[in-house]
Amino acid sequence: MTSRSISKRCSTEGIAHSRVILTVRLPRAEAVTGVGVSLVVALLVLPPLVAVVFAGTGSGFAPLHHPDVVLNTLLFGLLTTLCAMLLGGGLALSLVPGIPGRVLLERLVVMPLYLTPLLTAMGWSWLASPKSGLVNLLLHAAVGARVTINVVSAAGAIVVTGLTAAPLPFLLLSDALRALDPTLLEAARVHGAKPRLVFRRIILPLLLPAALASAVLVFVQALGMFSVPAVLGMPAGFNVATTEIYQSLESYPPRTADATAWGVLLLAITVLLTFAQAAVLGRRSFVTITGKAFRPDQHRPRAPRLRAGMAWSYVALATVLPLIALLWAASSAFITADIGLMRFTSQHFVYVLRDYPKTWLAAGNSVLLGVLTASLVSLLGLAVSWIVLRTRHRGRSLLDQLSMVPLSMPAMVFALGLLWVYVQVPLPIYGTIGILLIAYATHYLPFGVRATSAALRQLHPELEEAARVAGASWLHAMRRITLPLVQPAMLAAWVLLFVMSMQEVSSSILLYSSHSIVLSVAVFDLWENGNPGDVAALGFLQLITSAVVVGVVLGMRQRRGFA
Amino acid sequence: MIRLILSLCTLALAPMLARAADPAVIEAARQEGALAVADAAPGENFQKFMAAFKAKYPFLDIATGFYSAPTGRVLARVNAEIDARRLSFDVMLAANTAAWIEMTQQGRIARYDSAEYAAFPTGAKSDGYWAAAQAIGVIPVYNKNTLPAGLTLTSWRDLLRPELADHQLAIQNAAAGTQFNWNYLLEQTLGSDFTAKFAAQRPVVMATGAQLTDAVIRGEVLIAAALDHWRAFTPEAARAGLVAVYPAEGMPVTLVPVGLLAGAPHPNAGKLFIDFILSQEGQRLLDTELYGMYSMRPDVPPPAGQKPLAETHPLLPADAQNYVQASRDFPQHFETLFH
Repeated sequence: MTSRSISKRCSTEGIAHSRVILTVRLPRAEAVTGVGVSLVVALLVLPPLVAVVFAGTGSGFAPLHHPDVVLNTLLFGLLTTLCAMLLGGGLALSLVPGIPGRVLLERLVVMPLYLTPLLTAMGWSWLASPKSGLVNLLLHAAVGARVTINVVSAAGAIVVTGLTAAPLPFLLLSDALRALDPTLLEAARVHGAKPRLVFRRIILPLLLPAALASAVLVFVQALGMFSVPAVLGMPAGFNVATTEIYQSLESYPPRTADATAWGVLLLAITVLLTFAQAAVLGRRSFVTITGKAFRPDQHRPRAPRLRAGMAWSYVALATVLPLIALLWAASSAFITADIGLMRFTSQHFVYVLRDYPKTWLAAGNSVLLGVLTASLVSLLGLAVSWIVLRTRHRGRSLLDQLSMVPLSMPAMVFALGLLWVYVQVPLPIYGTIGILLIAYATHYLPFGVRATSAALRQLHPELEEAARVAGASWLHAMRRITLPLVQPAMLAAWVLLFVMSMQEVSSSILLYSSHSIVLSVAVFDLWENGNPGDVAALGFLQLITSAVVVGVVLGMRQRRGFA
Repeated sequence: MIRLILSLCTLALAPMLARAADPAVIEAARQEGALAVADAAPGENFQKFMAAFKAKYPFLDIATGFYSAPTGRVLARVNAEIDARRLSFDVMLAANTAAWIEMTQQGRIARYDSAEYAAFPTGAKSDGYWAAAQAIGVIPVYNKNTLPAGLTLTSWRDLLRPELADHQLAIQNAAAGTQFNWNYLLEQTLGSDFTAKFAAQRPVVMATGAQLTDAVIRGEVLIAAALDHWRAFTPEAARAGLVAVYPAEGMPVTLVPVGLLAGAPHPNAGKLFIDFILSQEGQRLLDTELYGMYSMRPDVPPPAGQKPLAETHPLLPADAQNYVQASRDFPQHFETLFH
């Protein structure tokens, strides 16, 4: 019996509201799953968390002595989130059926996910530094030195981070939009509601879970962002928590207490945010996929060309221009304000492909870790989401909070906790790829949970319940009903997790060994010690590697027919 | 040309000049079978150096335990392993003399009386524990294509000129050992008012030396005031127009010591490595040929195109304990000056 036929049968038999079965009596398989998953999450998250909190509260609390940096950090987080939500939300609302080139644009607007923020920041610093930026050189040639765009500034760091973070709200919001039941919109229109009112009263409230989830994710990610503030903010005197953490950890003796104190502060902010999010969403229903069939919205969007134009502008700013800058840097002996001195060369590509000893080993390790992390975390994320949303498992709220913890702390600080814990653990994993897999799985668990929970939230429990009433076991209902319906979201989560794993650097730099080095570390090492052209060339290789794997996975998805 | 011929001759003779290693140590190293080095020297050049070592001792696995990262991370990793009593490294090469002094006092560095220590001057070694495998000058570097005509640099005090105020100069942040050495040694030499006046110039503070070099090449700043000297001598830097300045008052020097870690799993392999890296042959290969850095051994020539170390008036810390304390206080001191 297929999921559709079970759903149909349940609907027609009028047994869609027998929720009591799932929520009152907890079947054994669910109970075992609940306990097992909670245990795994606790083992992954708690030891490093305890290590960090213990270290962070051991001496004077560093943020108290730097109120300016605390303010900078909060401003950076808030404004970046605002920027990313406006961009990502605008893109999600713009790219609806009927927009010219929509399918291509949907793929292009998520391209910034493939570019690491470090590369995007470097690209923009070459594009819009006040004296030598390519854009400024062109501007100065056209209108003189009166107009200068200076991206090496606090505003520059915020906008560039917003550009890099926008795909996250776009993905979550566009998935939520796709799942909207058009009958709700039609009902509003039939009753005479104007488009603006429909948007305000129907669409916005139904998008609230995805909007809040993505806003929290972006905010927390922005708080933990190091590379963009380091490249664009620090030279302008704009220091945030992560640049303080970097300086604390890289100096000798390392001021780990200061670094972890910053981590504890950010953890506290995120816990408060998560509570606020739960309070907003707690008592409301956002279900849009039920047992009743619906047909897609047939209305033509207004101003399709304008919407497409906005999306193309975003693609240009977030992907095309930084890529051009990277390609320019990778193909030039060096970048300088004097164009006459520049000469094109393949030396950087030759270096990273032939001479740089870390390239090929790192590429292989990165792909392996990316595939394993994405698979493990998307499954674990689904399990956590299901327990939190579908069961009355005691402590499910705690499980939800716990699964968010790794995100709530800057990756550099959480990685310290991982190092302190795993260097002590008497398992033969220290210095192997295994320890990196554990670190990645812990670090990206929140993304797996949030991505899958957004999908599960929109799936009415009546579908599973109906299957159970029709005689399906819990496992059978999961396999035939829940999993097929969340599969597209799972695949999107897998791709996101794979790409993020390919870019992970904070845990890797503390935990890798010569044979478990990954591409992101190789790029970071070049950034710290090498030549910008080499960084750009290796960054390209990293980008291409990610794109090839994601292309293969998406190709398989299309062949299987659930695109 | 004569210099090149001499260099080639010395290279050819170097294996004969190197002291023969103790056969008992070689045999013990053979039994150990591996060497794990934690290295803070940047880039792929160190792997070339390791390959030369491997050619001498092919029975050692030098790849499995090798770890390469900037100094801060090398120290964090090594100390975390020592704290956890799970040391996997034998030898450490890291550019922070204060850390070496402290780790030696804490018993974290093993005593090893390498015969090569005798070739190093006092101040570049801690007899029986470590010696400087590399020496990096910290100098001002400018781009001849962007520096305004008439602005000449011969002294550190030239950096205090009014025309260099407001983001025309760049330095590294407090985490960089280069920056600490620059501050400490110039304050010792020129007085603490020098760094206060320099801070009043409102320099740009950057995260890494590579970023600093890039900013000078691109003309975003006029002068990198505290740059590792070798960065100005790479072929790309020379083509881009970078010029190294050796100020008259002297050049602060950052040492990159190497030593055997206490509790090393392969101590004999570690001893062979230390003997090799500190030998004339090893120093010439590592510093003169591969990195373009200085060797503290007087019998090793400077890299091509660079002033001999003695002529740069190298500035080194005179009081080890004062240096260590200043290193601890530096983040706060830096913040007071530059934030």
